[in-house]
Amino acid sequence: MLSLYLATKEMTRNKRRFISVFLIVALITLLVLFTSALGDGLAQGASELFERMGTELLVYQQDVDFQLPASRLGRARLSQIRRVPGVAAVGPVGVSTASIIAVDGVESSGLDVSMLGVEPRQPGSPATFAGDELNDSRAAETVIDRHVSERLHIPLGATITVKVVQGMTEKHYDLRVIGYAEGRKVNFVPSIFVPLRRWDQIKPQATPGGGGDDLIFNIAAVQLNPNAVPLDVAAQITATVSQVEVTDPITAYQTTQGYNDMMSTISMQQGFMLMIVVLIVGSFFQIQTLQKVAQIGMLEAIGASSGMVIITLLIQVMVTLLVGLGVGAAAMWGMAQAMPASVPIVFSGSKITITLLSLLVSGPISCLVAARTILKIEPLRALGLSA
Amino acid sequence: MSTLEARAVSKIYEMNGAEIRAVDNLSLHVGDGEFVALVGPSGSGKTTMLALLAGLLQPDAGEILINGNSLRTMGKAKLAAFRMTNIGFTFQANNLVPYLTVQENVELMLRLNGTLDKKGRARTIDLLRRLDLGDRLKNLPSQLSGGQQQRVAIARALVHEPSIVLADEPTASLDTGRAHQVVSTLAKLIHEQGRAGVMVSHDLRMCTYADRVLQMEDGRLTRVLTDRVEIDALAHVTHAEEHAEAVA
Repeated sequence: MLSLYLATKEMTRNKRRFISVFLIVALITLLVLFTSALGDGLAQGASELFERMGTELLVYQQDVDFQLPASRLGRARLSQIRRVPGVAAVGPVGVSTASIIAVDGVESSGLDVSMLGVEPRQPGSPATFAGDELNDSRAAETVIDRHVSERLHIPLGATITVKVVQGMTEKHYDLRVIGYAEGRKVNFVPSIFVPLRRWDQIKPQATPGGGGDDLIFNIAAVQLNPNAVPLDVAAQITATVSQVEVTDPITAYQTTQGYNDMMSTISMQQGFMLMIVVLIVGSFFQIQTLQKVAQIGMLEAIGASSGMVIITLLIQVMVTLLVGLGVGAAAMWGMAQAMPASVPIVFSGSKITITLLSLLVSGPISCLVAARTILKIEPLRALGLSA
Repeated sequence: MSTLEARAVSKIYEMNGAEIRAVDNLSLHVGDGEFVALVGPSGSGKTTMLALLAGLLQPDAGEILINGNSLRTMGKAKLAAFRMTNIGFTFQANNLVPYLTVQENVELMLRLNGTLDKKGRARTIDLLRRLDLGDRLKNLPSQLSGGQQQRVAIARALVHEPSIVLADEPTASLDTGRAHQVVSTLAKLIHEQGRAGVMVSHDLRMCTYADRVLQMEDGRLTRVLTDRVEIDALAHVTHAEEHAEAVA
């Protein structure tokens, strides 16, 4: 096939030029995918606790605008919620902060974490991908999320020491790591999960030792029976349990302060970046094609068909783009592996596909637009031999 | 039998509202083995005429026939295919594909019309050797002089054995010695192979290699020289005038 012959010859005889083009496309791909992955990583840091909670409804204290730290619930309400028709299980979730200062007695560089108190085997208690789940409500045990395990390289069975402030005193508590859960950042801070009774004792508080029998936590995670309609159950909970508000996990993180502002900034940044890059790549191939006016004019003058000329151009553009995109995507993957665990990188399959397809389509379209312009010019004019 | 024929051909352009008759009711015919020079001052319409003969432009009136086939009735694709097999074309610039070697540039014509085989390859090499380019087969155009590039273009215009060979200012960028070498070679091959050749040139000295000289002015054919003595005189006078100018 003559088009393939010409396209291949041009690329092999102008290796340096085409390698430069491959690299430019690869770098552009790397830039777009990396900024997109960073944006998604940031967004996930604000939502993953709720997304992975595995419950249909969340119950908050009334009038706190679904702000997690501001909500306060007690055991009595938990029992009331459990009695609402359609509710299969309810689990308390308490949120506080702590710092991991040592692993197996060896001082670490220190990592601030969200310390979540959950009832073992109840909604809110995390599933683990390695090790055991929480089982004993008073045990000095913890399940740590992937972010914590990757950043501090804590082995299963290790003992971590967490630092909290209770009253005026800095307290240190040891917790044995029994399992790893998927990432569950709370407000971008990685999490460790502690049985609720133990959490109540070790959380930051005015007086050490816990709040006694009236155990206070932040929200209740509600799992429904298979046939229950979430909206109906939510309405019933609101009607029968005093001073609570109910929402679903998605609404919960979307109403987190600053979440919408952050998401619109990230989306706008990703959208603009993609648009600019698509325009750059498109213009690049358009200019590259327009530079071949004389060559195309000559080919046409000696009898080459327009179709053959267009296919030759398209083969070059597609090969350039496919190699460039492939190298860029591979470089992105390599870079993500090399990045420290503290850098939030999340690959979104749909966004990667959209990015790669947009770039893959912009090149040929721009090339076709330029080729159409050139092919409209009479071959003699294209050759610079004005008739 | 006439190989190339133009019948009362006209081509009109519009520029700033004014009508310019680039070619005005021009007729000609070129037979097998005949090499015709189309000469005239800049803007006389000779390049337009060449483009019309090649089917690169469509006439506003009249028609072009090649081996009895009217170009007017052919669509764009058919015309491209017809040009590919029946016409050899050399231009004054941008003649060669920059990323193909000398041999590949010539073979391109055979690839285009699907006739590149062992014989075609041998013909390519033979033609290039006859044009003193036997040692340049693997060179890229950028490694050749202007004269060598023109000779490669001539080889490409002839390799697929077209019935018509059209050359647009083949000596435009060459010094006198190279110009004579290129045109004499072109004329020799056209005569040997029995093609019908038309060369557009502003350089009257090159007329000495033509069998017939057609002089154009303002789109019209103003003079036809067929007599060898007259043709050589035209070429010689031009040469003498140029020499005198140079001395002055």
